[in-house]
Amino acid sequence: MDESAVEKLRDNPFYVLGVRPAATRAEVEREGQKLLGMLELKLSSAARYQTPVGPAERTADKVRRAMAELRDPERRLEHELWARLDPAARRTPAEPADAPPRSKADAPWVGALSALGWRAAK
Amino acid sequence: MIPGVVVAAAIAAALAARASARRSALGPELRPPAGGNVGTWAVFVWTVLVPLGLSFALFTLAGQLWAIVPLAAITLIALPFPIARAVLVPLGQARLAYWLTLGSDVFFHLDRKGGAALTGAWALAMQPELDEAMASWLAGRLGEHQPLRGAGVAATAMLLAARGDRDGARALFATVEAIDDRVCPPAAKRIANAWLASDAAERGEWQRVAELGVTLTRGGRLGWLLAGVAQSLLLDPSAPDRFGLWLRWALAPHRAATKPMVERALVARDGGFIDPEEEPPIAPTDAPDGEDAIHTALSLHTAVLARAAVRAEDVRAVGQAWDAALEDAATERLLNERALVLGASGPAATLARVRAAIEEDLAGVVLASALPLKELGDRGTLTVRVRARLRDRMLSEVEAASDAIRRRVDDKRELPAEGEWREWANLAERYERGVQSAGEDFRRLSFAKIYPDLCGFAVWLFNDRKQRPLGNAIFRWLLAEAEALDDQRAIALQTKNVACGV
Repeated sequence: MDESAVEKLRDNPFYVLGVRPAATRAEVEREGQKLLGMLELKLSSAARYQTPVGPAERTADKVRRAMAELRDPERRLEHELWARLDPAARRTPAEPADAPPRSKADAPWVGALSALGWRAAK
Repeated sequence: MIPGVVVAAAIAAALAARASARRSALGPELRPPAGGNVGTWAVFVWTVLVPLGLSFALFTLAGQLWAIVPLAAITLIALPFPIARAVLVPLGQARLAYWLTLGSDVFFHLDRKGGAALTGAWALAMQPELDEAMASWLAGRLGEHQPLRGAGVAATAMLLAARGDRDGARALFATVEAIDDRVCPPAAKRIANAWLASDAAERGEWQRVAELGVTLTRGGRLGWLLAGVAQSLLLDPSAPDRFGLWLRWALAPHRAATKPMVERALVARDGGFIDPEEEPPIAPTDAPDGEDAIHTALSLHTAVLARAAVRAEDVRAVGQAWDAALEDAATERLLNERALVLGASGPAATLARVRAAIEEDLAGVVLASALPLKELGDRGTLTVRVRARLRDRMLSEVEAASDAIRRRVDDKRELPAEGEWREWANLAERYERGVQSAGEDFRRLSFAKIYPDLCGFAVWLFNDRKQRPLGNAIFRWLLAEAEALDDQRAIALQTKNVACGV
């Protein structure tokens, strides 16, 4: 998994602010101010947001950056394109999170270097 | 018994004196490579001291307890490396391991100081916290010993491993196999291969494990066992049978640690592992009306980013979806409308930025999954661009490393011998990784660039720096590559260079 690319998608200003790309400037500003207020009051409902790559943590800094990004028309147009996927459309994982790991015959041997006497066991 | 001992001692002393006289007459640079793998000191120990030790053992068994002291001393002198490896290395006693192995004329006759540094570095790697002063002491000892030979290179790699630079250690250990046998103790090659096999097992690269320990002499007991395990896990027809695998296990060290792996290999051989079904190909989620192309591309893009094991067909599917979306008239219309509403300029600049971001994302996915570039194919504008971008990046890395070496040679800027080995190992590792990923085109393009740079580097090391083992290793590597590319001029020149010896 390429973490930087996932992070870029996760930090899309529209997902951070919880608005859709068609939102007007006023709606974006209003939502941003509302979220800042809620974060100030430490309301748990504002602490997380949904994205197509999974939930993420929302901070006041992220919200301010998102608002600033969407004030620039050129940057906003680009973010709109990337945010066209509905955050609720996140694909469900193939297996439940608590399923045991699938074993493969040729799975890596975790800790082989320590077990075979090449370095101290951690 | 006494006259026999005296005669044997006299013979051994005469042999030692003759060897010493030959060495001093020729000087250090012109000294011919030592013949054989066992030195005069080892002959003396095993013909004189070991029989003496056996008599002390008999005395001890007869109740003469004073004989234990000379018996212990002779045991230490006769078996310095096995004792250091079995006792001092696990205890992390780097300095003691160094001094004891210095007397190992059986295992490290061709490079005793390098062998001592290798054992010391190994003990250092076993310390829970790195003793930096000891690491510097060992590096200093290694620096005093010129030119650097096979065990010295392995010691440098082990020091890197002890310092936590596993990639650097891997690159350097990989060069040990290519060092001429006349300047590399077989024990150093076995240790290097066994370390590489253990490292590959930890990373799940079982094919590499199987290659490294294909024979007992090449991989050592541990490498041989790991190769058998790897062949069984991969269901290779040449895998040893049940008895063969247990035999390898019985011969190898670390039996408690390797037993579960042998059992896993046997279960695999018997078909006990059913490979989990591969993840289905990525598929887009349902699109709202009128947003088919862009939605499909985004949906596939997100799926491939979230997937742990990406396949080449996944990347190709995303590339084709983006090709369709970015060339779709509906996308352009959508961007035009939104640009008008927002007061932004036309969609061309936005599309260019989005295209670049997609390429960067897909390049990151390919790199993270270690997908060979040749598997991406040559269809689809975006996929071809991603492939070209990654190939260019790998080519640039090789060129930069090669240029750095050429500039240093031009300016006659010397590095310590271990630094020279590391630069060379780094370049060879990048080149080989590129060839493995991008194929013959990459090999041809890169070789044309690195050949003159490396040839000049090797000649400089061989003639001016007197680092003949390294110069020879590079000549041999260049010869192998020239043969792979059927470059007749390079083959002729490198054949002559290799024939200059070590």
